[in-house]
Amino acid sequence: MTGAREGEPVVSAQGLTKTYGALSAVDHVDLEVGAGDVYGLLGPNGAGKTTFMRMLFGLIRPDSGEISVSGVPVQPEPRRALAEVAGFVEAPRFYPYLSGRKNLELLGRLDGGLRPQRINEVLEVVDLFDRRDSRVREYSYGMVQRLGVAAALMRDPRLLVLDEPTNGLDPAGIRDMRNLIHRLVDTGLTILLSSHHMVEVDEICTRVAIMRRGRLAYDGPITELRAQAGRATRHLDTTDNHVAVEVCRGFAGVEHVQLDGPQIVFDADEATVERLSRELVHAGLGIHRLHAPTSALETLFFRLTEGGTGTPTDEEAAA
Amino acid sequence: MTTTSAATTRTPITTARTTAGAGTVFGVELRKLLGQTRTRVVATVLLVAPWIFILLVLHQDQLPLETLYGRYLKTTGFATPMVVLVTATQWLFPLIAAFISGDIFSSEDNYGTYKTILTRSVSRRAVFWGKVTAALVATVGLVIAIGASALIAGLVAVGDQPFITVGNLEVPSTAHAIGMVAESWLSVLPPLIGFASIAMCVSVLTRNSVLGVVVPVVIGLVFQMYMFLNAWDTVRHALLNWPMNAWRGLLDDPSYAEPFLRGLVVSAIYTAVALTIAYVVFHRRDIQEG
Amino acid sequence: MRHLRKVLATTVALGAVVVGASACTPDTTRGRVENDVPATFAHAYALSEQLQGHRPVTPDVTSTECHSSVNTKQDSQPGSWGCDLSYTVDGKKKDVSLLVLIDQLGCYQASNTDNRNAMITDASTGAQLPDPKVGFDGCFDVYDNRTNTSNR
Repeated sequence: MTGAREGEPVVSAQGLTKTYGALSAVDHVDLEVGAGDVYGLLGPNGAGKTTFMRMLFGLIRPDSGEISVSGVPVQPEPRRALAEVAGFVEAPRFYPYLSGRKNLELLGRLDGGLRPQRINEVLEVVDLFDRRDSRVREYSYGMVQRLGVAAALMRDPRLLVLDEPTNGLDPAGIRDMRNLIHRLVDTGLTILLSSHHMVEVDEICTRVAIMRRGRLAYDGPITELRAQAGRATRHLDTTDNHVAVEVCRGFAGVEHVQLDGPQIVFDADEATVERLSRELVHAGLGIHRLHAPTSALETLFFRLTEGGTGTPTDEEAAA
Repeated sequence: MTTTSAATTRTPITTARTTAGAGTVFGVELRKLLGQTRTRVVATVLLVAPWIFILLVLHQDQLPLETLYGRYLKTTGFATPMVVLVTATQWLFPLIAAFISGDIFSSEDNYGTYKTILTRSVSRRAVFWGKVTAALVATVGLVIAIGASALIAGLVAVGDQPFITVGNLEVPSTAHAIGMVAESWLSVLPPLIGFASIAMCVSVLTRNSVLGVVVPVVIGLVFQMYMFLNAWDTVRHALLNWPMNAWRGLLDDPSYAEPFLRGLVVSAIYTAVALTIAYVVFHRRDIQEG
Repeated sequence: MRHLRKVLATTVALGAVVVGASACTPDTTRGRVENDVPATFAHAYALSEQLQGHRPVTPDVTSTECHSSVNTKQDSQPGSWGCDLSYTVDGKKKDVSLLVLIDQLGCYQASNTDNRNAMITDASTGAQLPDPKVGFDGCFDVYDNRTNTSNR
């Protein structure tokens, strides 16, 4: 990074606050992203992730606090601070009446010029080279998303910021985008990635911050979060759920047991579930279904962001 | 997704990144303007219109006597650009200024692309002045091109007979005549820039492409309506439509420049106020959309 | 925003001063009309002769009297005006009455009240044209010092 000193965090936010009327979009957030981190910023919609990223890019000004990149405050020197930062906030946007290549050419000029060959290179990386001369209005959502990554890579950034890069993509698009991010991670880039999918962050990131209503609910290595997560929420359906509920309640390591309509919901780790299933069979119960709709990390995520039982809604589970 | 390793072949950055200035933004904005089909279509129509106009006039008996220079349309080819100028100053020039400049800021809101350009190596100041310069150059360029097209149309269709001044004197020299036509067209540029600045100001304030075009046109029409009223003359002199007509003094016998010089001041005030408001608002705004 | 308010306030104040300082002087005055119409008539007369292939002769306008038909209290204001001109051409004394329609820009269309539709033949092209000396356009300087609006 330009002006970066050894050991200095790439991104450093201190007391960062942005309010809109009575709503605190970002509320006194302290956060550090180290060089080489693949940093996940997690939170449900409206948690403040995008507002944080817009402040990082200098698109909106914080009400108080400061955010700096490599020691250079974004305000009042966004150009100097962001010299080697690239990425996009929410869905990337381009001029629909121009081709993908023409869009990248114009953006390259705004970066002070670049080799034409570089445009072809980044279009190859995101698999858009064959569609380079099609107008952006003819691109699918996933293609625009990938063009956003190409536009970011064109700057040869040291820090890549991606705001919910798989949002709105179909399963194939999600797979392609995740593969692309994995390859970028391998290049040693520092990446700040926001998402509301715990699985995505768990798969890619080394550090994670979880935001809830503008505040940080967790900030630390993903390994620590996994250790904290422990038990996942399980859904159980047996031949007699009333008997099964009693078995579960008396079983060591099983917590938060409740009969929820046609199924039993409880929290337990893998080893406990294994022992419990044997016990249920031993009690003469047939097991129709026993599964974890969310991972342990997701359960913790829902607890941290919703302050509830950790049981996701069907919609969240599907996500 | 391709499995090439181009992402891993990142070019080492050996020098600090160059920051793009207003000049670069100017070039980018001009390319964007020319890349829009609607701009090319409207420009083509406006450039062809004087040719159709003079050909229609030549094929009818009546002349538009109520328009200054209308009675000389068949006498000299130099009357064609003058009649086009008289007509255009009433509503076409404000419309052209609004069409090009009223969209140049709000189109970024419309496409959600402010975040795309403001996350590159370019400052807001450079983006603002680059856009302003591009809009003004495009507006002025289009108006000059229409004038040139009308002049060529007149000379081809009617001929290069001596130009006749506003004071009804003949100008035998063709070069002098071309100079006078050019002078009259160039004299409308300051108020044209004033209208373009209002359009840009509205574009920044409303963030809406439709309003950015419509509001300046409505302002121009309100000004024009006041011009027709027998109301306070001094108020009329403070309206942007007034200096649009200052060329009449420059082409009179004897010529007088005071309307043009006062018009310069009026146009400068409109331009300065509109661009100052636009700059302050643009520089301070949060980019939350897109 | 304080800076913006200052700019706006200064502009409004300047505008008010300019408007207030010169609000009393009308653009269209008898002095300006009587100065411009005869000069433009003389040019149009010469142009008419020239277009017809005659020797271009410029009449000598000896007297001009113009009055507003709209503002009967004083000779000012755009609209319909009547101008009576006396001139000599080739030693002959002639009179002409012109109807002068003045617009808010200080420009006008003048036409001979007796013979406003006369046509001439352009000697160079052979085209039929409206005769400039019976119908012509002109403009006067609304900032000059001929502010006389006296009536009759």
